[in-house]
Amino acid sequence: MPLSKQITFLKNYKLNTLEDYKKSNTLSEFTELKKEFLLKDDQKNVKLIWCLETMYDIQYLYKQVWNELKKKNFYEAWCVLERCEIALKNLQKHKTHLFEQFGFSQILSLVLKLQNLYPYKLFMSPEILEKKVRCNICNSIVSMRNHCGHMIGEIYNGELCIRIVEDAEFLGVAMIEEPVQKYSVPFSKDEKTGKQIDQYNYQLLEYLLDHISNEFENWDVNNTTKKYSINYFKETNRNDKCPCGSGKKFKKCCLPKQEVEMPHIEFIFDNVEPGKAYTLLEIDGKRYKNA
Amino acid sequence: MKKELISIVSAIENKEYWLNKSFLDDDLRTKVIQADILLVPIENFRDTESFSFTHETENIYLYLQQNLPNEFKIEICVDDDFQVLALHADVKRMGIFLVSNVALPVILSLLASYIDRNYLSNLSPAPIANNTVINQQIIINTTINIESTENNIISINYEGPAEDFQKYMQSAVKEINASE
Repeated sequence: MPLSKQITFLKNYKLNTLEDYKKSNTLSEFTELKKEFLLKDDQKNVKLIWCLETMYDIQYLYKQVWNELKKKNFYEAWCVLERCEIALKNLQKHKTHLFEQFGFSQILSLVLKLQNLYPYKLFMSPEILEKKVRCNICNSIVSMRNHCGHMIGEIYNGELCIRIVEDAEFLGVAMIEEPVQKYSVPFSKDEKTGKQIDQYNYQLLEYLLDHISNEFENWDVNNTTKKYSINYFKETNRNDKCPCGSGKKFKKCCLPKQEVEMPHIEFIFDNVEPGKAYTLLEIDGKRYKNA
Repeated sequence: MKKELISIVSAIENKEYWLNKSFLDDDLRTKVIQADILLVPIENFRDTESFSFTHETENIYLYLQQNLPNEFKIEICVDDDFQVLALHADVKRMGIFLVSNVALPVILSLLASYIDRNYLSNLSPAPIANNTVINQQIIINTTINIESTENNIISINYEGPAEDFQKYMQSAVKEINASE
């Protein structure tokens, strides 16, 4: 029966290794099956193949995310996370509930939670005037007067309909908090050497990686606050910014109160003692003693 | 400071304003005059001489054409030179509409169903998280310019969660009707 072998591979996503995806012939087998269905103009099965191909890509990309995270290549992992998220969103509209057996919702959930642990808050967003845009399905120039009828995001002959920009004008760059292009993260530069510096603090991700054994292990995060005695902050001067993150001077904020209420993140793991907490200690680049 | 999701202001860009644009030929001018709902371009973004539309315009225009009741006419204020302004903040920019008073409830209803069909119904159940903000919220932005009988334009701009669009727009329309 066609597809049974490939479906079995997809079902085994938790056990498949990154090497399995690299060596697997599954994608080329999907391509061949798609061609056979196209010859019969069996659009239903052609679309199904596209969905399965995309699910394969999602699983493979997610494995790559963890590979990069284990090597502490956090920005590289972020970029692959974005590609995985895009593939998930493309598939979301077209998949059936049967795709849960391939880990669709689980991977979507984990991708979103992982992205939430990253310290990136501002992104560079290009502003572009697209002057000539072509449909990838029929190759015609997009026109509102004589529209080709192919809708962006739909599947035609086993291909996702997108637009190809042939002529554009770059207008500018904006700094934004919620980007479409998540890879546009600003980095610092060493003034002397000119080399890029990764100035971000990845301690949340590092903590997560220290406490889970595989990429599909269940975990959760609770954003809360915790109060600490002022004694923990003996290195903080009165005129420094308050460790609570308010932006005010220490002497005008928590110093008179004799305790500091700080952002506190609790990780919840299935395999770790319940309620074990982790305190986010770095505010504005200063480190404080662990509680 | 909390940003307002909706604003209601006066505007000058009535149908006459668009009919005077040089890129309209006679045939298109006639269609624009007859239209109850007009999709109008963003003018001169960042001081460039341009008339452009958002990424969502293409799908929305097709959807409205297919679902508009027969007694209403829709047109897009552009010739063959259709340009897209690609801004990469994660906001679904649905475009700028110039509508007659009569067509207002129709366009609001169709936009709400478009939002539901294309954005809200595709969302998977939110990841289970205690107090974690997992951002699956879809933000939309749109402007509806309403041509009143006195040729005044009342412009309603909404930028906020997709699921709140209908509620806020209905509220805005009530407020406008109450003030007239």
